[in-house]
This record gives sequence, structure tokens and C-alpha cells, in this order.
Amino acid sequence: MNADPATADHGNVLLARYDEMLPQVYGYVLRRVRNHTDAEDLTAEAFMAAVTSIGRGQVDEVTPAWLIGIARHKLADHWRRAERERRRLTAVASNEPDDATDPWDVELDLLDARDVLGTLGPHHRSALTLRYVDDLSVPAVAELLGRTVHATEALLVRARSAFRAAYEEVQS
Amino acid sequence: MSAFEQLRHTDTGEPIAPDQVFAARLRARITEALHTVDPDVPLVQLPDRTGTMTTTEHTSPRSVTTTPAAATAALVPYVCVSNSAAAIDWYVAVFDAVETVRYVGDDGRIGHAEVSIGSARLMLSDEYPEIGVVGPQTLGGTPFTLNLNVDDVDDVWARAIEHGADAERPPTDQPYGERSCTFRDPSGHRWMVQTTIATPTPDEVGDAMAGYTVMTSAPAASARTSLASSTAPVELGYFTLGFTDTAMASRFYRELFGWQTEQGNVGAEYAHVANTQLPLGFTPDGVDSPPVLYFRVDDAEAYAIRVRELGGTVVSEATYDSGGNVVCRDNQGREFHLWQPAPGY
Repeated sequence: MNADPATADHGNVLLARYDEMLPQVYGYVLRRVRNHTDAEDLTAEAFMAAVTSIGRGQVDEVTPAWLIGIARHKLADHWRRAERERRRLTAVASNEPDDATDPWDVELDLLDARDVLGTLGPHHRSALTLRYVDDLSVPAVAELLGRTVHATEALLVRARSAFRAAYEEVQS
Repeated sequence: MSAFEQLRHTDTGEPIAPDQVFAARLRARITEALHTVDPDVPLVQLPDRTGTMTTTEHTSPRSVTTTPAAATAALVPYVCVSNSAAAIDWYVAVFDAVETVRYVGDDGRIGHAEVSIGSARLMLSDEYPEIGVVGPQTLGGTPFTLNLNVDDVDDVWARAIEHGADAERPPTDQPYGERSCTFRDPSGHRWMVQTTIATPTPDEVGDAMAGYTVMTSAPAASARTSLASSTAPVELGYFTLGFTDTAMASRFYRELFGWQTEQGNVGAEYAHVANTQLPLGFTPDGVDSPPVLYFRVDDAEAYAIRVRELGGTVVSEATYDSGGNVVCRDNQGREFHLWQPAPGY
């Protein structure tokens, strides 16, 4: 058994609240990958990473928000892997459009918006999801994606254009 | 407000319950990882079972029941379709079918193929009009319905429609205890897919269905004592093996078979193996004790009555967290347990 009583406590909380927290983490992940297999894999990765952190005594409090934070990192890794995969398969389009300067203040059809997010490439989807769906700051997104803030801003510009183009096509 | 700021609302934030098998396996992995660090035992690098688990979940259908193959193997539907390759793709996408064999003829036609859907089998071939083998599209209809039991009929229905099935009747609760839907697949075969939601008696079904009298092979009055004729054969649900030292057994079988054990709630000496299809436990009863077999029944009391009627005896009855338990002996004295699982077990 683990010697550290704090570790044991956190482990007990994780198990005691497992039934309550699992659907929260799984729901968070599933809405972002929209495929059960990936959602299960990422949820399992998040929980097992949580166990590792608990074992190392790096945990203040075991809460759903903490687990979702871990899941967000796993998602970012997942999108990075997917993007590497995509780059290997296709040459990256060099003529991606510039950000429209107008604020584009239409009212989104949320179901369509979610579908459109799912059709974007992993790099665009991850940037938009973290920045807007998860409402993170640009520096926070940059950290999760392992990019500089500048590169992330540039990526967001392209991601917004790609989203807008895809969304307008769906709407027309 | 910019359109992008509205994206936040695409996330409802609602919890979504994952597949129960997945949830149980993950819990077992977490429990194992949290509790099996024994300072007296040098750490052994276990083979990574994550991959195995993932593979299983890819190939073993999420929403399709696992009725034992023997129960369904006697009669296997053999359907004809105009394009077997496309039909197989469709069954894979909608039913999580697994293709097991395909015979491709020199003329390019598929002469025979088989898929597994859960534990059910389905055979199919392309059309061979020269010998009268034609599919529903050529016939302009189909005289039969393929009936499939699944764990989540709504999920299968959604996938079927998404993949272009012709909807006939969306999932609806039926008085005979099934939530059932019907659709035609793109090859023209009609499917009735259902999930069992209740087990009403024939009388209850008859009362709920105006215009029908329900007759079964056993008269309703003696339905209770004719359990075997009206339900699926009873299967083993759990078994235990006795050891002198269950912790030692846990390590041995973890290394040998990849069994992951967790402590049960019936004592520190008891270990539960949670990652096998048929769960089992280790008891500290010693290696000379016989294995204990727990047969999974839906009504332990009814079966106990039947045991006595058939010349057996009931030794004891008890209720645990896991459900009702009746220890019986058959008419030769062989001991076995009837286990009526509590919800969730």
C-alpha cells in the first residue's frame, strides 16, 4: 500500500467519486472528439494520468475540474498527433485565407457550428475549441498546444477563416 | 458579440455516461494502480494491457449483446445482397460487425462471406441469378426480418439512419418488454432491433395487447416452475478459487494471465478479478477447497423452488451487496450457488 496518507486520501476520493466524475470527463471529451472510441481512450488516459499524479503527491484536491484539466491536456496531445498524421498525408495548403477584419457578428446555429468544428482539420479544431468552447486565453491555448503566443494567434486567425468559410458553406 | 464567442454554448457541459464495460474496466485499472503498490515486492513491469483493452473495444461491439454463441449458432441467416462488400461495410459501421471470412470469385463476385455481430453470425453473398440466388432489390421486397438484440437500440437506430437505412419504425417501448425499432438496410433487408427493457409474464403481455391472446409452450399458471422452457439457458455468472495466500495468487495470475485484481468488500483476504469477461474471485479457503460456482439467475427464489421439486436441496439463503444468493445441492449432492445479481452487478 502507499505510504503517504495524503496520496491514499486522494486515491480514495478518486474512487469514491468515480461514478460521478467519469460521465463529466467523458462528456467533456466526447463533445470535443465526437467519436466514442477516441473519447474512451482519452478519458482512460486522463484518469490514469490522474492516478500517476496522485502517486507522486502532486495533487491539491481531486475534483471534476482538475480531471477535466488533465483531459484537456490529453485532448491537445491527441489533436497534435492527429495533425502530425494529417501533415504526413496531405501537403498543407499555403494559400489559407486571411482573417476577415469585420467582426462577423451573426448568430450561430449551435448544432451546425458544432458539426462544422468537427469537420475542420485537427489544428484548427483544437485552437478554436480551446480558445472559444473552453474559453481559454490565447497564452493558455499556446501552452496547451506547445506553440508560441504569436504562432497561436496566427493559427487562430487561419482557424477562424476556415471555420467561417465552412460554416457559411453549410448555411448556404 | 462576435460569432466565435457563441461557440462556448456548443458545450452543454452535461455529463454523459460512457459504456458500462468501459467504465468497469477503467475503474479496475485505477483501483489496481492505486492499491497494488506493495513495498515488499519488487515492482515488475507489466505488459501494457492498454492496447489490448482498446483493441477489444474496437472489435467487440459496444452496443451489441454477447449472448453465448452456442445459443444462436444452430440457425444462421444466409442473406443475398447486390453488393456484399458494401453490405459488410455497412454492418461494420452500424452493428460493429466483424468480418470473419470472404470468398472472392474469379468473376469478382463475393460467393460467400461471414460477419459476427456480437455473438451472432450472419452469412451473405452477392447475387447469382443463374442459380436463383437474388437479393431483395431484385425481388422487389423481402419476406423475412432479421432480428437482433442489442444493449442500446437507440444508438444502433441512430447509426443505421445516419448510414442511410430506410426508417420504418423508430425505437418504441413495446408491451412485451422490448424497446424495438425496424428499418431496411441499404441492401433492402429488414431488421428488427431491440433492447430488453422488462420481462412481463405472458398474462401481462396479453393484458397489454388488445386483440391478442399470448400462448406459450407452458401454461401461464405453471410458468414459474417451467423456467427452463421459457428463458435462455442459465449461465455461470461468477466463480471463486481457493488459495492459501490470495495476494500471492493475485501476483501469479497477473503475471500469467494479465488478471487485474481488486480487493472485494468481503474482507482483505478476498480478491476480485475484474478484467475478465467472466468475473471471478480468489478466496482464502485454501487450495484444497473446490471452486465455487455461481449461476446467474433472474429469480433465485423461483429456481430454489424448482431445485426442491427436482429432488435437490436448498442449503442456505443470503443477500449480499452483489445480490441474492442461494446455496443448493442437486439430487446427487453436488453443491452450487444461485446468484440473482443486484442492479449493477
